[in-house]
Amino acid sequence: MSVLELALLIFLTAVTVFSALMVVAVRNLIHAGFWLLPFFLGIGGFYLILSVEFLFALQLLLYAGAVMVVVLFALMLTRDVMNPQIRQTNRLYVAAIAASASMMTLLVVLIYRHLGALSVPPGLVDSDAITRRLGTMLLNEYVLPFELTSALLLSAMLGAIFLARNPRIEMEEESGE
Amino acid sequence: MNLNHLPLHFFVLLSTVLFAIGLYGLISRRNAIAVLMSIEIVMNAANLNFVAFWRYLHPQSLEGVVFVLVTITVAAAEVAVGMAVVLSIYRTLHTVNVDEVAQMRG
Repeated sequence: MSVLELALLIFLTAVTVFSALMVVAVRNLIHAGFWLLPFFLGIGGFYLILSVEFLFALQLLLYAGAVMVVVLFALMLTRDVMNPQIRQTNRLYVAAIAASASMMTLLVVLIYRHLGALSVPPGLVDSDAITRRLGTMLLNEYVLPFELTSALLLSAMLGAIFLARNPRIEMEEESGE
Repeated sequence: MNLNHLPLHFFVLLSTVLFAIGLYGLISRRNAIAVLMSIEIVMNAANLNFVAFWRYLHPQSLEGVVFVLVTITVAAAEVAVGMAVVLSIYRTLHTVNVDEVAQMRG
């Protein structure tokens, strides 16, 4: 690994971990929402390193685009999200630190005990053919999950519209006629 | 980038760290939207793991990538419905703090 590659890797890791920390730690929730952006981009960068460019594009479109916009809209439609005086953690935050730290320690110990099984060389992939093969697979072996996904998206869209409509405004409109 | 000098356990450790960060946010945040943001971190950590294990252990089949595709779609649906639920709760109870929302009927 060259020095440039190593520097790039360290930079990408630092950006991803730091922005994830900022998302869960900052008090201003609008800032937390914007910190999601470098986090999603960092994960996308790791997809590029693992040579799945198609997932990088999807990550950009769906997470850095759509999910970010929805999160920021929802934040702007509610109140008390930008006041730094308001505590944004509940009573359980010490327990939360303990729980996540102990789970992380457990997993890291497990990973280090099974380091032998994990030290395999990466397989050879033809990165140009991945997207083409993915399309073929999605319409052959995985056509049922693929179609079920569209049904899921449709029902999620209808459910979101049903939940987000304001019944009071509709009632006023009906009585005003 | 040449992956030959980058071991698999780097990706596994990285996603462990990200998962722990997301778990902390999931438990400690009061605002429901912030809880949903923490869920996004957890899901992204899991996706990274899927792709890394596929790339190192089973590069011939594309199951790991298919899994991530489905996960990203489910996450998008989850965010849409979750935000609609949060807005609906905000409209009836005038708060989105999960420790104050204690009743199911509005």
